[in-house]
Amino acid sequence: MKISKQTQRQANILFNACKTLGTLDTQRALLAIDLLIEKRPRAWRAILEHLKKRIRLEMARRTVQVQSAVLLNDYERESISGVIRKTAPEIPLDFRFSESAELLGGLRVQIGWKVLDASLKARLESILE
Amino acid sequence: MSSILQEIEARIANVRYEAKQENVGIVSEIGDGVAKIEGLDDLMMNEMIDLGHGVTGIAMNLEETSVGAILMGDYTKVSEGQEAKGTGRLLQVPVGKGMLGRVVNALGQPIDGKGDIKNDAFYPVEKIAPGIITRRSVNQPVQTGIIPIDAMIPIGRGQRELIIGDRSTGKTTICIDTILNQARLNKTAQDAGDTNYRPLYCIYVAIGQKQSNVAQVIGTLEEAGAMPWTVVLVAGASDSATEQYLAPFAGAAIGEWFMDNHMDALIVYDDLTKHANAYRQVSLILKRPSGREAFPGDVFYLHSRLLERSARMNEEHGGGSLTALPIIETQMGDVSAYIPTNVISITDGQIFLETDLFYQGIRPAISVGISVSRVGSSAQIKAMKQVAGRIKTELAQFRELAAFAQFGSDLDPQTMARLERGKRITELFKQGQHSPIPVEIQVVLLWAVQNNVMDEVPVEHIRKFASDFSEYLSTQKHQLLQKLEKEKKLDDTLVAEIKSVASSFRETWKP
Repeated sequence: MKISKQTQRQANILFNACKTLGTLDTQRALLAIDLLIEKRPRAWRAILEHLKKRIRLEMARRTVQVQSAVLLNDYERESISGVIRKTAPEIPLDFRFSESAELLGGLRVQIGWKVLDASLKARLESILE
Repeated sequence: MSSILQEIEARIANVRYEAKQENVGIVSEIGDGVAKIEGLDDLMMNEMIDLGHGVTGIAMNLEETSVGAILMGDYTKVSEGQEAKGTGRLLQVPVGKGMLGRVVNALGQPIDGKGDIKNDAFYPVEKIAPGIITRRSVNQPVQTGIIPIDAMIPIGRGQRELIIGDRSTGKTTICIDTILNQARLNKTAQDAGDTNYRPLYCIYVAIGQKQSNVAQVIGTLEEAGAMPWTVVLVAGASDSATEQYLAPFAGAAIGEWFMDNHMDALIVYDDLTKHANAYRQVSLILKRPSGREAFPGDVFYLHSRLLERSARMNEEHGGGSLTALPIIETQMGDVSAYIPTNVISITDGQIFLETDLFYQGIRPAISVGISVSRVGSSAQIKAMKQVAGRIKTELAQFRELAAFAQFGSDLDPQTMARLERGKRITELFKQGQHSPIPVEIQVVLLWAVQNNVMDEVPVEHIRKFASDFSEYLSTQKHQLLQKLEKEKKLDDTLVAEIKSVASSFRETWKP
C-alpha cells in the first residue's frame, strides 16, 4: 500500500499521542486504533498501516533478545535482565531468552537494533579478521 | 618452570575482552539495486552496510523509520527479512602510487588480472573540497599537445575544462591525446633526470561506456606507453547504476591523494551525462522527488561538489593540483539542455566540438567562437602567448569574412590576405589523433604561419608542410627547441634564429 507523506504525518501524530512519559502506552494505542476504525477518517487504512509499523518498530526497540550457547537458569536470567534494566530503568523492556549452539559459548544480547556480542563465535571471528 | 606457568596464567587472567557492538537492521524491501532497511539506528549518511553474501550497501536516505541504501554486488542474493549490519565506516577507496598502471572498478578493486594493488592509504569517496585559504590561482600549464587548445583555449593545472559536443565528435580523443602528451612529457623528464619537472599523473574514469570502447582506450594507452602514469577506473554500461554513480567520486579520491601529497594529477570524467543518468535512476528508485527531466533536485550539487574537488593548492599546502576534464555529450548540438548548462556554469571554460566541423575534416572539431578558457591563459608559457595572442581574433574574423565572401567575388587585397591567413591557420590546426605536438614545435609553427612563412605554401599542402617542418625541427634543430623549452619566451635572438630556420626550410621544401 502506498502511504502518502500527509498520511504518514497523521499516523505519526497519533503515534505520539499514544505515548506517556516518552514510552508507548499499549492501552492508549489500542484505544486509538479502535477509534480510528470506528470514525474511519480519510485514508484511515493507510494511517492504520503506518501506525501499525510505528508500533511494531517501537516494540522491536523495547525487545531484548538474549541468546546463549547453553540454557540459562532462572537466577542467571534474572541477574542478566537486572543488569540491563539498570541501564535504562524508565523504559519497560520485554526480555526473550533463547539458546543457540552456534554461539559456542558466551552471550549475544540484542537490545532494539543494537547488538552486544560477547559470544565465543564472535571472539573467534574477530581473531580471524 | 612453575614461575613461567604462573606468569602465563596471570597474563591470561588479565586479558579483557570487550563485547562486540553492532548496529543491526532488517531488510524490509529489496529490488533494482536498492534496499529499504528497518532499524539501523545512528547510521551515518554514506555509511557502508554489510548485507552478507559479499553485498555492500551505502546509506543514501536516512528516513524516520527506515534507511534507503544502494547496493553493490549481486543483490539478488539478498532477501527480505535478512539482517543488515552497519560497519561504522564511510565508503573509501585505495589510493596511492600503487594504483598507477592499473585498471580498477568503482571500489578501487583491480579488474585487470594483474594481482593485488599495493596502496598507500584509503581515501573516502565523498570528501569536502579544499577551502579558499588553501588554494591559489592557476599558474602552470597542462600541455595537451593539441595546437588549437594550447594556443587558444589553454588549460592550467587545477582548472576544470569541460569538453562538450555531440556523439562521435572526438571528445574522448582530446582527453586521450592529453594523457598521451603527459606520458611523453613525464617520460622525457624522467629520462633526462629533470627533477624540476612536476609529472602530471592521469586518471581516466569511464562512466557507462561500452566495454569495447574502454578496451580500445586502454589499448591506446598501453601502446603509447602511457599506463605507468595513468589509472583507469571503469564503471561500464554493464555495471550497476550504483557503480556508475560512485565512479567519478572514487576517481576524484584517487586524484586527491596526488594533490594532497604535493603532486599534480589530471582526471577525465567520461562522461558526466551518463553519470547524471545513473544518478537519476538511483534517485527515482529511492523515491526521491524528481524535478526537471526527472533528475533529482540535487543534480547540480552532485556535479558541483565533484568538480570543486579539483583545485590548485598554494605553496604552504604543498602546491599540488587536480585538473579536471569532464565530458558532456549533447543531443543535436543543444548546449542549453539541463545537464550541459549546469556543468558549463560549474567549470572554468569549455571546449565545444561541432559535428559539422568534424565532417568537414576539421579535426579536432573545435568551435572557436563558443570555446573559452576562463583561467588558463595565465598558465600559458610566454612564448605561446607571444605567438598565439592574436590567433583567436584572426580566426574569428576569418570565419566571419568567409561567410561574407561567399556572396561576392570582388574583395580588397587586405580581406583576401585575411582569408588566406585564416585558411592556413585552419589547416595548421588540423591534427591527427594520438599525435600530440610538443609546445616548442607549436610555437615555431604558429610563429611561421603568422609571419608570412606559409603564405607561399598552397593551402592544401599546409598540413604536409607543418608535418615536414616539425620533423625537420625535431631531428635537425634540436638545439633551437631546447633553447625555446629552457627560456620559454621569444626574444630578438630567438626570433631571428626561428626566422632563418623557417625561411631556409621553406626555400628547400617541396610538396
